[in-house]
Amino acid sequence: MKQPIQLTVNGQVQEVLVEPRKTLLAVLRDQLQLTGTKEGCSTGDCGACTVLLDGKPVTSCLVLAVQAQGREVATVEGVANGTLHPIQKAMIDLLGFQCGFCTPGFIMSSVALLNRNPNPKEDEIRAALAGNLCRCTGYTKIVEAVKKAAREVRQQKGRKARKKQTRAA
Amino acid sequence: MKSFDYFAPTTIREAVDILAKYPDAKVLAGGTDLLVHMKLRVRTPDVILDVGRLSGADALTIDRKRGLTIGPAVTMRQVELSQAAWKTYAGFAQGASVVGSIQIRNLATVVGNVCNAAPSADVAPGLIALGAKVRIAGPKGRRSMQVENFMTGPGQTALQQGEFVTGIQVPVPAARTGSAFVRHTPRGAMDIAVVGVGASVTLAARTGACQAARIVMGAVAPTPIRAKKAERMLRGQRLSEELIAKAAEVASGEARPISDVRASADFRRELVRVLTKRMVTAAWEDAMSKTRSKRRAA
Repeated sequence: MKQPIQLTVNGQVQEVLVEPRKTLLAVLRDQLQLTGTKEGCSTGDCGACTVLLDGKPVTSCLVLAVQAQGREVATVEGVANGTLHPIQKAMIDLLGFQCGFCTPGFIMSSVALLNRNPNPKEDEIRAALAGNLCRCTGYTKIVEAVKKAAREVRQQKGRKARKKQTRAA
Repeated sequence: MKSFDYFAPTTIREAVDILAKYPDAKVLAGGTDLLVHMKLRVRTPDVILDVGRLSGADALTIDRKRGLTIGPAVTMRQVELSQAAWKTYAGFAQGASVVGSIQIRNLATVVGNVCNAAPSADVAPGLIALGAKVRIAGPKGRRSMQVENFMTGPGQTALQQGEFVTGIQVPVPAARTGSAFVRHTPRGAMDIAVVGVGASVTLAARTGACQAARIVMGAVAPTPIRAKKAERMLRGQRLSEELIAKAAEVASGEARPISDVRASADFRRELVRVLTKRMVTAAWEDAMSKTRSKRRAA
């Protein structure tokens, strides 16, 4: 028996009719046509399906869509806002991907990391990405991309803060 | 997954009524065990009862009288990020912080981990070392019992028909109590404990001797178990590296591990010996740090 749910996805309120057994991943991909989030393992082990649920990274293959009722979801499609997010730019510049299948998941985990800690040490980056598996790259360039993105995020914050000061003065 | 009906009640009464109406309903918290089983068709419930919308479900609160209250939807990540939990219930916080990955910890719940009742449940040794209780609601009303007695076998709990766990309560530890937990896994994340050991130590006020001790071993028996002989060796004694090493040897003998894909029984026994030594020492140090801060505060 389908149930109507309302959730905010990348800032937009969406109303969808879903079966209780449908995962958030399935609804994002099949009903909302947001196919950036990938299904790698279906069991929460690989992280390819990572989205932000109320700002927190989760494996969407283990969330029932009905559990997302009234909540906010952020997918990779919403990460760029006019311009690429520093992590997206860094992944491209440093070639932090090959086949790209794991990449959306890594981007979401990295966005969450940089939101809570814009100056992560390498071991903190690796711990933050422990739930994302990559079969192509060997992780080195992914970690370097996060470091580069972190520098850019800190610089952007610095510029923003100085702009605020100038305006206030 | 097979189709099912889904309920997310906001009151315990509603939840109990639903479980009474649908005796084969399964309770859903984080879904990191249940949904995996359902996808594999190991479990095929027709009805799911989600405890995530119960009033106070995600409340993790500390109270000077009642201690730590853990709602049924409190996630591992909430505990991991709680300074208050680490400060007073370190053995428990440590267990919550090593489960899976950040994504899994943002979904997986403490209560769900206990109810799933794997012998390797990571929050169990710490909770048992700290004397935690599960709170249960059912058709006959409310009751509570020690976590230690609640887990009765692999995947089995003491829940009766129509009952579910509404939360976990960890009492205020006695003064000068420290706790610690560690597990051995081959990987740094996304793994299941080969062996887990949680310990708590309470030091006597004037002498600094060990007034009470608990040693809880995970993944070496059908449920997490206490090493009671080893505990008795420590009780009433002044702790020392030597004594702790002897107790760890005894704890190792009390373990009843099996050999499986993850490790041989022999290796597990050796791990118990090593990890018990480390965790009793760590719990002792945690207890002493509280003694020092008490003195500073005085």
